[in-house]
Amino acid sequence: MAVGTSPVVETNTGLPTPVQAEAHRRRRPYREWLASYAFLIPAFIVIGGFTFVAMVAAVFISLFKYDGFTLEWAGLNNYAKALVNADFHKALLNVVYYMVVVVTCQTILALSMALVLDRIMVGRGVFRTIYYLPAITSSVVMGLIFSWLFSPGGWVGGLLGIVIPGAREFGFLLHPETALPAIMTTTIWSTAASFMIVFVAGLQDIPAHIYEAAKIDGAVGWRSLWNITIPLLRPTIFLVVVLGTIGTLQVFDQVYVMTNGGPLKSTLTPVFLIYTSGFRDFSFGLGSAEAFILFAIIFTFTLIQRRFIDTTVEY
Amino acid sequence: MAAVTVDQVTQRAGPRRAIVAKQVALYVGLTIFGLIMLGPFILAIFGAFKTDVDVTAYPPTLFPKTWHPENFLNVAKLFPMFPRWFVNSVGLSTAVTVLNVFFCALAGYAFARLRFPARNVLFLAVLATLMIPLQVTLIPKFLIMKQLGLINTYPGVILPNISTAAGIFLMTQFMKAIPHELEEAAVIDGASKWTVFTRVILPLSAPALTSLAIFSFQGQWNDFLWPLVILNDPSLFTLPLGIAGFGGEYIQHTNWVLVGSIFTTLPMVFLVFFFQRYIIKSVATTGGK
Repeated sequence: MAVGTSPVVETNTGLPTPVQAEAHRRRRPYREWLASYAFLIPAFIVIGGFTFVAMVAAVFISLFKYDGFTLEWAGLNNYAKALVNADFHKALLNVVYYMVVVVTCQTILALSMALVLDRIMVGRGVFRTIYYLPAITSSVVMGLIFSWLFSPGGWVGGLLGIVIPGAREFGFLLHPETALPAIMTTTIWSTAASFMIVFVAGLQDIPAHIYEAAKIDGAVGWRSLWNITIPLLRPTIFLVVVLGTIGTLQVFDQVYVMTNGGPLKSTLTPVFLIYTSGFRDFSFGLGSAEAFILFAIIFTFTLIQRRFIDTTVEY
Repeated sequence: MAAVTVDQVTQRAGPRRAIVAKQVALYVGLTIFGLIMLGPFILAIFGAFKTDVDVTAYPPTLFPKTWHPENFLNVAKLFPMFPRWFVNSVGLSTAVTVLNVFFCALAGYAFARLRFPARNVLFLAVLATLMIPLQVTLIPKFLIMKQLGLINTYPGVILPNISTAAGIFLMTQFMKAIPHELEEAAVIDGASKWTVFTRVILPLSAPALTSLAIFSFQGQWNDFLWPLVILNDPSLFTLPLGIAGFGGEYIQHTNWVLVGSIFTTLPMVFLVFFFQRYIIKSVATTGGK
């Protein structure tokens, strides 16, 4: 701050010198403050109103029995109600099963696609675009197309029917054992594509000289992949696993479009339950309590992953 | 070159053959992945040309028995709202894109290049909101909109999306990296902060603005849960909301569902084809969010 407090050097050149301009700015900092706050106003209204105020309101609502008209103090009853609700347990079990399978498969698939793309010599751009298409497809469209593919006599049953005779007329979304796996498949198809791009970007960040050095030391092919690429990609893998976990724990669209939580609640998920509590039963308090419990679970999973995946990398 | 010995040639041919074999294997893998990723689209496109009987017939066939390109027009006849949904989706996505990019750029400029009290605290507060999952604020957001009388309105759909923490972060990071010398010339000429922002910073931030614009458009185009909660008048529906409806009631007409799906996906496909290098770049900085 020594520059700012030093006396201004007076010159007679009419035009302000950089020193003068700087001093001028410093003498009236409130102008910059005003400009800054003016620039921030739109963002602060939106994020403040729809995230901060909404978050505080959510805490408040979760402590009341509220149907949009009558507000009745409920204390922690909503949380208690959610925690003993068999549907909520089912939804949590479903979503954890869904998370484990989807995160594992999408990460492996995304990484494999990125690794293959990284090693080919021609056509990289074309293949990358093709692989990326599922990522930009609306979840509703995905849900509708896969509902058709998984329908009795549809493509999935038809193709599996070549190997397993009974699969032909099997409606995957109509049976409790296969409905959630069918939704998992749908999700993996799309999210593997979006995370592939994250891996492509991560692979580009690995300096070429490291591979060259490894080659001289005799590390090529699988050994180079296992001992060099994967360890150096650790931060990217962590990012993909964490984003995948957060995303899968919040699955809603596919469930809404493909199964509506059925059959026999086998595809019920917490966000689907929050939606039905809030916007079908108008139990806003219960819905908010369920949302906070899910938030706590997401937060816990993220912290656990942080402990288990070491993200520090030294080149 | 004449000095190349037989020994050297064979030594070179060995690795070259291995490289060719490896590349062939890679392309086989690529094609398999490609078929998996494109397969559902290809089946859906051919399915859209089929009759409603043909599209669910067993065994499924790739090509239609008879081609029915008129399906694409009939959708609008049977669902008079369909063109309206398309227009709604285009309008809402465009509005969100323009406003979100502009407001995030403004905020990013303030955070990256201006000095004011509580700057770091405010920036951290913005980043902290990235951790709050959507469903926690879903119910209060709906109730706020109800208080504001914005249920079943276009502003109600876009308002929560016209400034995003991820967007502000992207803009701030990008604008921090712009050299200060470029700004100083304008400052010396006595330009206001607004002039510096519009004349110097915005043009130099074009790549970041483009990336944010793509993600905003795509996010709004595909958004489902929030429009589902806030809209119940079919004439205000977006495409995903509209076609999700004909999955249920009109499940027997899978061919129309597929036509609707194609119309919903096509604009996104164009977006990716035209802007793919921006997508890769911005994923590298933001991690795809």
